Amino acid sequence: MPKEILLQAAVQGLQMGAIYALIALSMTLVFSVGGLLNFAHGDFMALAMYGAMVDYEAFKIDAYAIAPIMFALFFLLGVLLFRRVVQPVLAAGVLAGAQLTLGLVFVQENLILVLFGGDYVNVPTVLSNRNLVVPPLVMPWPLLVGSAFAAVLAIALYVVLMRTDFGRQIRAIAQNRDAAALMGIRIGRIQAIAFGVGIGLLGFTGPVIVAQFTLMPTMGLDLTLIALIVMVTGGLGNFLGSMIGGLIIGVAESLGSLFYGGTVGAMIPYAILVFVLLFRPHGLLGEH
Amino acid sequence: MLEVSGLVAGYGRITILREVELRVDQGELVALLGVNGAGKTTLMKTIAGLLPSTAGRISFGNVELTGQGTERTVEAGIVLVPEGRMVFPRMTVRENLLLGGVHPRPRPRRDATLRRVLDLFPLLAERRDQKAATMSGGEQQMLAIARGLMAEPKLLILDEPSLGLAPLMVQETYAALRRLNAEGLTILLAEQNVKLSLAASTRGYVMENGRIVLTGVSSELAHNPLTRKAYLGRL
Amino acid sequence: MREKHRSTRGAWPWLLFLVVALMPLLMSSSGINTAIITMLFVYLCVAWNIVGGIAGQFCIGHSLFLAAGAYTSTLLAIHFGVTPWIGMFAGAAVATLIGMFIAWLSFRRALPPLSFALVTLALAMLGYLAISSIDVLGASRGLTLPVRGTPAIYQFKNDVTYYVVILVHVIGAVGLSAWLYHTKTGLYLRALRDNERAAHAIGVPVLKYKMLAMGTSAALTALGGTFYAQYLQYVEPRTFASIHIVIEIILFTVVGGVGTMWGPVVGPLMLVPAGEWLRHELGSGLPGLHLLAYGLLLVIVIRFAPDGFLGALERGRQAWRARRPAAEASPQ
Repeated sequence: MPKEILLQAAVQGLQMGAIYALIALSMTLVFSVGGLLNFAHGDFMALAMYGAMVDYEAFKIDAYAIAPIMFALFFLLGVLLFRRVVQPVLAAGVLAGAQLTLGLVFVQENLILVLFGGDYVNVPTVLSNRNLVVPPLVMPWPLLVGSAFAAVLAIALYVVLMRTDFGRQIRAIAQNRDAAALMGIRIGRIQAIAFGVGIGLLGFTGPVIVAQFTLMPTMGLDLTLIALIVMVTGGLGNFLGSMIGGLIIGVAESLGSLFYGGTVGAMIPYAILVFVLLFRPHGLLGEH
Repeated sequence: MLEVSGLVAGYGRITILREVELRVDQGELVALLGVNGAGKTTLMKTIAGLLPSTAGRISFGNVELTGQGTERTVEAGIVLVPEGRMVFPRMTVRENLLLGGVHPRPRPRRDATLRRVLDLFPLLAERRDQKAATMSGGEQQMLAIARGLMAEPKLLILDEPSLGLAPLMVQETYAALRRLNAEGLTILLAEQNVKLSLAASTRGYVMENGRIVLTGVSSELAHNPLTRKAYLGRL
Repeated sequence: MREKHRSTRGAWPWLLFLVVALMPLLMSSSGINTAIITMLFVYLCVAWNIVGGIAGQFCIGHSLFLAAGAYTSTLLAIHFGVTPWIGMFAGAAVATLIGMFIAWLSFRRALPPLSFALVTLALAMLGYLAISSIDVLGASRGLTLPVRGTPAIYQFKNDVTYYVVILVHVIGAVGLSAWLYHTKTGLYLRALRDNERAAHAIGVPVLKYKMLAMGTSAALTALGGTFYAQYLQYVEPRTFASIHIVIEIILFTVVGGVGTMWGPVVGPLMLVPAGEWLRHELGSGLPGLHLLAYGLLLVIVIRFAPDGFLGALERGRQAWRARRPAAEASPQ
């Protein structure tokens, strides 16, 4: 195997990994502060990507330009959903919450189906079909830019979590909710904002990576599953773990596809999940 | 300062506190005694705002705190150092302390408060970047108290601070508490260790089955046979 | 909450169910297809509930069992001319082995519930991807059954006959479920569900019962898989091996009331016809609209009745009782 092809696959894997890392990080945020395993997480991203398509077809605005607006929209959506739907259901237990999100998967997939039909769609942007050539690598601009945004957002979120009061409050709630309450922290408010940020990030990232993907109604669940695999591999609730796990899964998938073909490549993340759950259940970096 | 009257509270349909009456005046160090299960923790949590009450009244100074949550109680100046310390395990000493002062009331003065607290507890200053989970029970207790102080409490409530601590650490903890009280901090202390808490306090209450069964000056309580009865069920 | 509800004890749920079940036989032919699919889901939900509700093992891998049943009997029919009436037991055997292996493995590795759910999910996805790419299994095109329409090879000209067959399956499954629920076995399973360590401490053979629950559920599901294959007369991964069908099964059971005996019956009985009706009313215009309305219905139900329809029924019943004078209330 020529080294250039290997390198190409590795770089591509890292770039996809950055995107996986961001999705997983935002899902970890929602999970650790709200206690909700959001099976519908990827569907929000899919919704955002379809939103970018709508925006392009209706207004001819390039996807990258609407990303900030999508963030705001999805932030509000997240807060609203948390307050009105998630919070009441979580009072009945974590399992009820997970079942709710499964229901939401159903809703969103079919919402997309109704609004946009079942055909595969591609959304062109100013960067589509153009490559950055840095010998020996040929890197498609959409993936490069998309993954760069994802990486920056992920790092920014991580810094916020580790260095700011807001981030500390989130981690406090995740580590010991009662103790956090005793600090006088407004738990409900922080949870709602964290939820909003988690969903909002998906709203931003969707348009930014849309040029790289082919859209289809079932893609949401696929993204959620990858994010889940990343979370478990890195350690459930572990923010750093989500980021590193994302890179690992991205590279594993890419190299797997290279050596064994597409289907096997798609199977590798699931195989990793099974192995991690069976033999290193707390993830590579330890849990939570 | 703190006035609790007719307080009834519990968990769901299980009532633990039955018409509790309690008073803590400014500058006092008051002990709350009772065996495991007498209701001390429930009372502490209700006063701190973690648990709702079904009847009765809690007031602090001229602030009505009945039915208010932790945000309001911390606002008013009541801070609970909970049973089991409840430090944030994966955060450093420094982060724990910062969180102690995160509420809007003490927040503006947090940097200065942090320096003062670290002066008070040099051991914590040494370990400021150590993760709380890796500390011993005694060190965590110190951290929990320090964290409570970060919120500039007017009344500090402690739930079983000596639990699980080595005797030396218990002495140090109580020395710190006495020092703080001498400097003007009002303290309410729930303890199973009768001798220790009555020695440190001026007044005390004895709880049994969710009620206050005895109250008085600590030195008298220490010699009152009824105190022993509450613990052993007999004279 | 998961105890047997007063409202569903005794003989009259059976009678009610039989009345509902026999109704489609009197209906026009257009309704019979809905009825068949409804009963199929009732069957699959009852089967899932044995391991997911009664034994409390939240398993998302049932597509593996469904596919095992469907593909085994179909392959045997296509390549060896074995009638699916026999092939279905082979399918059940394969599924049982897979199920018991999963149960054994999770026990050996002491998987907590979330990990168990995720492992089964991952295995289901692996199964789906594998089937989609193996040519012998038809890959993504699937396999078609030779159509001859003779009952000897589990094919019927009249759809009503299919309905009767699935109804028999359902009655069998509900009967088995009832037997499990009311016997010592069921007690052990529910003890396992509620507190595994306590159950282990009092001597319940944990592994044996976990494997029993999973094996039974798997076998039943596989039989359903064969039925479905015979009804559709083809198999393909998107219908039989994808996790979408498992999600539906779980959601229907949840809506009905997980862990109860009649919950998995009530759930699909309400939701599948509702979905079909919605498809009729809304589906002709926009594809997926009926599913969307359907999904919203599900979310609303979960939001307002997290313990399912039967749970809400029970709560309403208790609230109503609380209003009656004390002298009237019988010991509960």
